[in-house]
Amino acid sequence: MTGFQTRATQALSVVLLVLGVVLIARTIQSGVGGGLGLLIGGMLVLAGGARLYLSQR
Amino acid sequence: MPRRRRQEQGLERVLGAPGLFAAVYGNVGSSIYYALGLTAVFALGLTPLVFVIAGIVFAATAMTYAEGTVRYPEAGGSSSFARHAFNELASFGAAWAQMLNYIITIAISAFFVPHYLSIFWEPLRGNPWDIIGGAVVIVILVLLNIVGIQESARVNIVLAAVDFATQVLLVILGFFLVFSPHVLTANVHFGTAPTYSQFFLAIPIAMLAYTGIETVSNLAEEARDPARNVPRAYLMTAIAVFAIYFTLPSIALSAMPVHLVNGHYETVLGLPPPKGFTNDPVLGVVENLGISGQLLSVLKIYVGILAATILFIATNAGVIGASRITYAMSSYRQLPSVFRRVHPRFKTPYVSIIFFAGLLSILALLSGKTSFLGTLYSFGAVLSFTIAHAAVAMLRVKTPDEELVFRGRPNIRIRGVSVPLFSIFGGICTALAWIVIVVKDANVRWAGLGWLAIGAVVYWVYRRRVVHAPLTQTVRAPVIVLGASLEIEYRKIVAPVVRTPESEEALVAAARLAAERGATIAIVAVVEVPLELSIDADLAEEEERADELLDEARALVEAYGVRTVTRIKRARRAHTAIVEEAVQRGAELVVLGAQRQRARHGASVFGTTVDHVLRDSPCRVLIATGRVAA
Repeated sequence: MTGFQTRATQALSVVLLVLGVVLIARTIQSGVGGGLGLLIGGMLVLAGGARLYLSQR
Repeated sequence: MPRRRRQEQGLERVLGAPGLFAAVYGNVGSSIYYALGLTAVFALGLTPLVFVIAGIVFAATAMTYAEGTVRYPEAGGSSSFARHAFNELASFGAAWAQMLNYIITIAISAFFVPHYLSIFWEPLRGNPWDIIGGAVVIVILVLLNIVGIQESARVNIVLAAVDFATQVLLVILGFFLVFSPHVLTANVHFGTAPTYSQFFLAIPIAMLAYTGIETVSNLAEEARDPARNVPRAYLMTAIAVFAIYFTLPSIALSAMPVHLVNGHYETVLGLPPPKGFTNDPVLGVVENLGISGQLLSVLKIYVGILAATILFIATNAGVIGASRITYAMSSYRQLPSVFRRVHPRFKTPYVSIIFFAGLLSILALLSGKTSFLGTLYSFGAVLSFTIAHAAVAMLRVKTPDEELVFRGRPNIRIRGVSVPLFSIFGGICTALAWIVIVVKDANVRWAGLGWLAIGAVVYWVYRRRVVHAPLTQTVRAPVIVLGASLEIEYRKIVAPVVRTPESEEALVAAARLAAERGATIAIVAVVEVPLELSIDADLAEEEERADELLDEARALVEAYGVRTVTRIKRARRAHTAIVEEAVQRGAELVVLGAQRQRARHGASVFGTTVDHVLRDSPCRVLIATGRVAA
């Protein structure tokens, strides 16, 4: 991967992480019926975190 | 005999379990023609094991879809489940992921048609001729669907049977000619070929093999008795699919073993042309079965033509699916109403067909890379499956006491809630599969997440700026009003039937109205289940009577040239089933017959069922009361 690709991948990973955290926070704030928000938020956090970890290894 | 008459005319449209199964297998069975090679690219010698793992996840997913579809027998699958379990935003997310699936199904199926026709002209096996050929297939089908072709259920059933029989034949031939457990074990160098990373990526890609599971949900609207037909159709599909996917990969890897070439392990099953068979894996199996001469030539031509035909039909199913889901999304105001616009002459949603099924599919096809298309499909499919699993589990939590006509198994009871273990297991597996794809495949990460981002922006802008409604609120598009006379367009009419002269009169009125407007009538027979029995109790006699009544009603309505769907519904009270049917189908009119009763002060004029329907119906209600002697 070129330097630009690596930086772009890391930026996207951070976006995914932040999006996931925001989604989880919003879901908890909204209360009832938010099971899907927790699930999708968790998936985004895991995907972003794992990608970031692999790109820095 | 109405049923016999319909069959003689070749107009059989009653979708029972075999009909549903044929439609699904036509789709799911087609994916073996590309999934086998794509999975082998990553899984190498572990391809058979990967298909077994993906198959177990498929079984859990099929159970989830069976319960969800019986609960809500309406087009939409995971999108529909998510609407009921969560909200409109979740429904949009599922529908948008499904849309990606349809676009990629069209692209990948069309892309592989030329590969299998390369038995007649070799250059069709690779770029650029496969891209050109695939684009031609898509253009032809888009045009045919705009003009409005009728799929023949009988042709589909015959093709599905021939397809399945051919695949079984290949498996049997393979077992006798090439199957070798020794070769299969020698193929595996776990950690090296495949690497752990390749192995985990191969599992979601193998789920590509189960393309088309949503088909039952989309056809469930037309199933007469979803409670019985839908679970049976899923079971039949699962058995047929497992019979092929648990055996054919072993034959393929016995016929095309993994070898060490220049320091790399490879199998010709997972190599691109001209050396390998990743573009036409089933032809690869045929070519490596150890047969030769005239027999090989004949078998190759037969398999090539059959595969191309099946893939052509699968492409068409994708075009129909894409146009249906777009239409449904714009009806729920998830997409701009331009996608709901029908052609003035052909009455088909031509804008959505051209844009989603035509332009976007051809755009996806232009990459010319099978592994990119396959992985992008898996990205959308596993996301959509995850939402379906979550929705079915949430519905159990939200309405723990609801009587279910079909309840998936296994379950575990926790704090009064029957928790669906199959949904929990399936949801965890598909969520992990989605994460693996996002983490491991850079191109799909950008394309897939880009697709989701575009959808989110379009939805947000349309909802906030045009519809002026909250993102999570369900909003139905208004009924289309024609011209200055403010004539309401009745596209869907629900007609409940019982065996009375008034009911017959109502049916005739509905048929005449529908014939004038080109509408569809959903004829409903309700089996009322007494409170002392469970909702799924065996009521064979009542169902048989309802079945006969529906046959007669259908014959009567079809005599007016009107398209019908028939439905048996179980309920405690008839009116709840009628109202539910009107809501589920988005009907614009309910037509029912009622006997006039002597009016007494404070008493009902038409009876309690009619009164309740009048009170609760989401749309207009027309009551036919029969004539009174002068």
